[in-house]
Amino acid sequence: MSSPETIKKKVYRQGDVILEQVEISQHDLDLYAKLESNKLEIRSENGHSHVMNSIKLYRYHIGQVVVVEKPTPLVHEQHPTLIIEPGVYRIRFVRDWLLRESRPYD
Amino acid sequence: MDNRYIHLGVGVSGIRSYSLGICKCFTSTCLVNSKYRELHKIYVASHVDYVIRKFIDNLDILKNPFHTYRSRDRTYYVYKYSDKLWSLLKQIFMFAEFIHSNKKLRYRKREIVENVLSKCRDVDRCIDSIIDTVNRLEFEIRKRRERGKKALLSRFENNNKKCLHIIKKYFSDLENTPTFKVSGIGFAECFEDTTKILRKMFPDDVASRYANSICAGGNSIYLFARDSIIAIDARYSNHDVKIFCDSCIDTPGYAMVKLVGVSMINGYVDRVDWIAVLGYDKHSNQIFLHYVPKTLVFRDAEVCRRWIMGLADNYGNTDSDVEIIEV
Repeated sequence: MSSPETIKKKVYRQGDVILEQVEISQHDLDLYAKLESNKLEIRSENGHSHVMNSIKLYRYHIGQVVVVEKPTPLVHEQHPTLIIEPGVYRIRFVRDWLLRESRPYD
Repeated sequence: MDNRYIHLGVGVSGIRSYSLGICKCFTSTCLVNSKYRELHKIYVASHVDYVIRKFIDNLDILKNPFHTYRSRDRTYYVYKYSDKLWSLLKQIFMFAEFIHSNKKLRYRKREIVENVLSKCRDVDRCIDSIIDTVNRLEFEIRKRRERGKKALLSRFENNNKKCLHIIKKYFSDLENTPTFKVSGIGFAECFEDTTKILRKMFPDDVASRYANSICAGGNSIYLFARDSIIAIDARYSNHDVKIFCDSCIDTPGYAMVKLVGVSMINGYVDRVDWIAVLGYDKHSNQIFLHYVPKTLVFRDAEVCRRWIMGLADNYGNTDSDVEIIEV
């Protein structure tokens, strides 16, 4: 059971895009990650994009991670805007179950 | 005179399987020299260890082998061949596998084996006792399965009624879904037909992935949703498939139902074919459908939703230290 003092991990979802808070230090990012961009843009199947500006997008061994330094909006034309609190987030997408192979398709 | 020998290879639990064979010689030459080999050989996996060991330790006829030797992690007990002994050993092997094949029987194996052994006064009675026990247990299993199927059907029917208002409000297509029949027999035909249909709704790679997923062994009716809901019938045998709504949620942001596709036999649930979550995003005015593992059959729509987000495992265990902020 979680105690009242426990800091809960934040998980943001906007449509199919999920930002999951992870604990990665800036030191590790500097050493092992590759800075890819200062903007996040994920195009949806329907042509619209999930966009975040003024962030740092890294390529890390667990996938792409976003470093948010100040509260930043995640914008999409069809969804309300989400304000992302400062932190390091792993980018994930909603997953599906592959019926044939009985395993998730991430 | 019959100069054949029965070689009973006793394995190691979890490591080495058990073997049973007939051979013309009684030494280990039998294992390496094809001249002495007989065709008849049976193997059972090493994890059935308990049952076979119990018989070896308790039956007088097995306690005094003609010869013993060790080879490749197995201890071989050699007995002079007799039809009765051969039948008994074959029955013991079959019995061990039967008990291991059912989880509920595995938990009761001590009691079941001791009950059989108590009637083993001679070989004939021992064989009869094994056969009677297997028949009785098979009957029990059949009865229990029938009761389970009945209970499952009642659960699905009751839950379906509770969620009808959400289906009517948000997913009215579900009540009259257009169904496309594809060839369910050959993979190539099924894949081609399914891809052709799904390409009208999804990008090529997604259509191929779904087609691949349902055509290789899928024997059911599957749902797909984008702007509307369609069904693809990929059955290759003539059985009924029903789709039940087992759980539902309606929030300011989304409405969601958990759907269960089941194969029916004689009016009862025979097999759960798939489980999916069908949702309506109120912000983007879009519907979506995601398949989830069948292990979530008794979990509610919220747990299935968390699985889709990667926040629950295949058994529905969720992480409580998570704050979900979503739109």
